[in-house]
Amino acid sequence: MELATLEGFPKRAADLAILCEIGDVLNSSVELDEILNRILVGVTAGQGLRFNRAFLLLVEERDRVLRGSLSIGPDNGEEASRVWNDLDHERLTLREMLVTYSHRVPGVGKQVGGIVSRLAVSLDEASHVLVRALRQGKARIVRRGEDDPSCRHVADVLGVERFALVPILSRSGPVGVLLADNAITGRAIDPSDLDILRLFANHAGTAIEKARLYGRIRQEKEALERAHQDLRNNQQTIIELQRLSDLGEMAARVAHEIRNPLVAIGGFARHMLSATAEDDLRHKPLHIIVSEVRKLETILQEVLDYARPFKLNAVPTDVNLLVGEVLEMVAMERESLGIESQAHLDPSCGKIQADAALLKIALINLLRNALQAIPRDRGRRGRVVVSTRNAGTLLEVSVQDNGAGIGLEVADRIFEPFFTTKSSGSGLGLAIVSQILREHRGRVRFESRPDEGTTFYLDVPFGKGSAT
Amino acid sequence: MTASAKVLVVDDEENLCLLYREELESEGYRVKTAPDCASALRILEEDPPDVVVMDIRMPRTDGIEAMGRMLSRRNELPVILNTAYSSYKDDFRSWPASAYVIKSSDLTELKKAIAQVLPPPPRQRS
Repeated sequence: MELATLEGFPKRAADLAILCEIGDVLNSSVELDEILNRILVGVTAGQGLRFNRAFLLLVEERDRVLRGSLSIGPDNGEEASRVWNDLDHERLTLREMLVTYSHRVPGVGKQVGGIVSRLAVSLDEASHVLVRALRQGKARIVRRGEDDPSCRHVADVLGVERFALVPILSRSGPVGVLLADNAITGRAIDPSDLDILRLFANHAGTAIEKARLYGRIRQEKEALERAHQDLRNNQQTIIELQRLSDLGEMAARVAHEIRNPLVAIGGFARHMLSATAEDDLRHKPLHIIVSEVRKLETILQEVLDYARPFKLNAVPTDVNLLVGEVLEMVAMERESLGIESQAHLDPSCGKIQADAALLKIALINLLRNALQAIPRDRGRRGRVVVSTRNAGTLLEVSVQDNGAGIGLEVADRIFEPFFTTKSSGSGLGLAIVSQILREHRGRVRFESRPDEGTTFYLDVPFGKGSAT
Repeated sequence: MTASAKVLVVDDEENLCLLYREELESEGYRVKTAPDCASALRILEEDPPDVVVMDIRMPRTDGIEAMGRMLSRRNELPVILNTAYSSYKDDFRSWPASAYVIKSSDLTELKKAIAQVLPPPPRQRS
């Protein structure tokens, strides 16, 4: 008896050293996959616990099932001797082995992998040998010949007479079970092997729990970071909107205050101009006052139209007719610039449900922009083309110019309020157009080529109740 | 020949009243001006106009309400609203107006609107 204990002592000491080393390596990782892999390598490594094969079944709480998830080991003797020879040759230390070796050696253990995927036991099967081990927290050696049919079943799936069964537990509950056997060498599993496997499973349980907690913390952290980022973005948007709305309100107030004096200045200037002969010295200065005031009034109008709350007054509207009116309205400005105009009107457009006054504003804005986009004294004649097209569910109105085109560097900003590339103007024209189209559940888009020109498209849905 | 048509301009800006008077008188209209709703109502009683040009933004009683009060006394009276916005009709109270004109230093639109609701004035400017 005494002798036996002493004889076993060196092996014990070596086992504990191995265990210590494996525990260390397991503890150095918080990645669950990495830890599970290291557990299996530790169980089977020649420098480790020296089992031929190992299988890991994990508890899946959601489905209430214990399911095989990982395995390690060769399929047969031939494969075993090849892999073990290779490993011998590499002379890895246990630590190196644990850190670098993967249970997924290409081409090895295909059948073993198949075995693990066939292992699945409902946690409600209380009498099943695997579930019992998990519930009772007891490690044991299972023999094929036992009375319990579940023992024979598992032994059959593994294809062995005996295997070691060790539960992996953690403080928060059962994690899974570890199965280990010596299917290739047939070496007996003795109680000291089971002891060390049990101690090993303790380490494994702690490491797995740690990794899962860490994973949860990481998820929570990422969710928090996302929420934080969202919040920041929203806050930024709110500040931006608030700023714009304050700015708009102020602009509207200023515009209202300036309007009456402008009407008086411009009005009297016009009055005097109409009573002044063209060769009169005062004619030109008066003309300048009149045209400058007109510019200012246009800007004011844009600010007021943009800042006011929109309310759609949609009625069946003949857009072709509207285009005619709008072309008429800008005719003087257009002719003074020496620009020709064309209208291509699709007779099948019929009427759309729209606010005619708002749509008019949108078209005037686009036309004015088009006229201003055409540089003077250029080789070819300036031209604007307004077209309508019945595009099925929507009506497309386009305003095309052969002007300078819109630079790429400003293309994504042109609809921003207060953005302008002109030396005068409120920067609200296109913002108004886009707002009006939004109100109509439509949209505005454009195509542009440098030096060839720009086409703006208004897509207006026909809407309910419109006669087409 | 009938007497020339009478235009009542209601605007709290004295200079604008002056401008409208100059322009409209040179068009051959007779022009009365009122700085607020109360004086406008008084003129309505004493010297009934043929058309009213009404500013909307005024202190105390705004133009739309003033129009309402005038129409409640003389419901056939044409009223032209001087609006701030290029699209109007948002406020249903403004619907009874005969016309809406954007307030502008260019009075062409206003004169057109007046001519539309009135018989032509006896003395056209050449």
